[in-house]
Amino acid sequence: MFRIGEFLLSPTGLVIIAIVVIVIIFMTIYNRFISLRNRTEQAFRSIDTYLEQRFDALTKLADAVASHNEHERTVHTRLAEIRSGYKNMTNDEKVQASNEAEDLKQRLSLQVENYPELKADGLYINMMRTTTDIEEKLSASRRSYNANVYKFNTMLDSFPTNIFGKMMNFKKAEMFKAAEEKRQDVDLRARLRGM
Amino acid sequence: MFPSFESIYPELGPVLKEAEDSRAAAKKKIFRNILIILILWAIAIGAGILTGNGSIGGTLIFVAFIATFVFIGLSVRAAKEFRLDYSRRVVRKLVHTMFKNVEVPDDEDEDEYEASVRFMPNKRIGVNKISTSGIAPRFDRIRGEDYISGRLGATTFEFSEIELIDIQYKKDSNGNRKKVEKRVFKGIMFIADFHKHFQGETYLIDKKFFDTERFELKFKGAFEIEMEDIAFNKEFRTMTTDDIEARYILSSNLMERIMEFTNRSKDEVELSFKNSKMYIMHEARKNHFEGKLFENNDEETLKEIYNDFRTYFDIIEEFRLNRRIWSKS
Repeated sequence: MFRIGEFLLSPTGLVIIAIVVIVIIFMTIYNRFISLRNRTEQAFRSIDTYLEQRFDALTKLADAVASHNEHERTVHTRLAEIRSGYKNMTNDEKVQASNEAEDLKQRLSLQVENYPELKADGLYINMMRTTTDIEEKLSASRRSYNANVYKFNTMLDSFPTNIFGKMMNFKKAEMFKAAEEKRQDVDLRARLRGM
Repeated sequence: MFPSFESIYPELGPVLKEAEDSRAAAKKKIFRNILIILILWAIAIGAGILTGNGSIGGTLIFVAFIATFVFIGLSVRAAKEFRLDYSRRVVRKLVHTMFKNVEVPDDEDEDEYEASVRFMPNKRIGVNKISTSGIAPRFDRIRGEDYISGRLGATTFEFSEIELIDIQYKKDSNGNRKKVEKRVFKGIMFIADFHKHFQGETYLIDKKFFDTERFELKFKGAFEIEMEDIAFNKEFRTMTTDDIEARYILSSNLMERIMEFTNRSKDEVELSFKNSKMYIMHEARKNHFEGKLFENNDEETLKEIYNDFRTYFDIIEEFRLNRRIWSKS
């Protein structure tokens, strides 16, 4: 025991202790960066999944409206077109599709106002509930994405984590920015570019 | 919405009369016991002085001493019986009247809305449920009473008073093993069906300087996240196994409601969300939902009990647990 203590207090021992401490700090910071990056990616994938689910839900809603009046089928047709190609779209196309879906949703809401019996229908109410739930999940994913990106970027800006961040070549990620006048709208372009 | 206390108080008239009789009988028993104790002590001391005989006086004092214990025990039992009787008659009637007169909210279907309640003064929430909550401190023994369960709209709920005791064995200065009991929680455990379906676990724990709970939750796989609300982050440490789900559960609206509830309560509040249920542990020093033997103003006592009930029943309305905006599986 005495010899170990003596060794640790010697210049060589002190250097070894310093190296071990630096390695532990390095590992902790690295793991923190990786954990935040993974959580950000997970939130991003969830956003994509919920956007797809929202397309499905909106298509069903549009179908319910169209089944009431064939003249109202244009919204359903357009949503179905977008949905069928969504998986193969580029990120920019997804941005465009999501924004278009938002406009179609508003048109759909206006159409539904003309059919009070549809608004009172149990199946329609259930579909509305599903849509609202998906939108809540979408919102939660966006909030998670932003919170993790904020932490990740803060670590890249703060000392001493910025040193490790630069060494590991991590790049800052962009946050979601909802438009003031239309907070439900999604500016996906920046997000879909990824970190 | 629950009726006001003033509107249901007249309905409690008959049971209050019965409770008054029960109180008078209990008081009579207690005063009789005190009187017997005093007489026995007077006889023992008087006989000792008058006879001058130490052995007679000593024996009588010993008898008076034993009798004191017996009659104090009988008095405590009488008081306990009164409290139980009061709970069974008055408190049960109060809670049933509250539910019988509940007003169906405007956005609910009157035919489908269900309001039912069960009150069992001798029962408490089960140990498994308390452990499952994940926010209960480590405990070895549990005491509890005043179990209430029911349904309000689409939400089932249950709560009761509980007291958790941790037993530790310590060695004294002579090296003898000594059992030390420590109360680690006293208050209300409230469980309600949450209005959203989720699979992960989310905990809102009190921010303490030395926080063993945080490490225990970390050990279970939870990590800390920060919510958007700064005041909320100051009040609670949010730990979760899934940060997206935690934000899905904790909408801005719910965070606001939780803060309102916490600000109203003077004591510590901790919450957890597990298995699509919401658990609340609300620390409280006083005993809720029971009558007072030496208090003749039943209206005041009952109003206090009514307000205590409302604190918990209103959670369902305030946290909008009936707002089934999605199809919960």
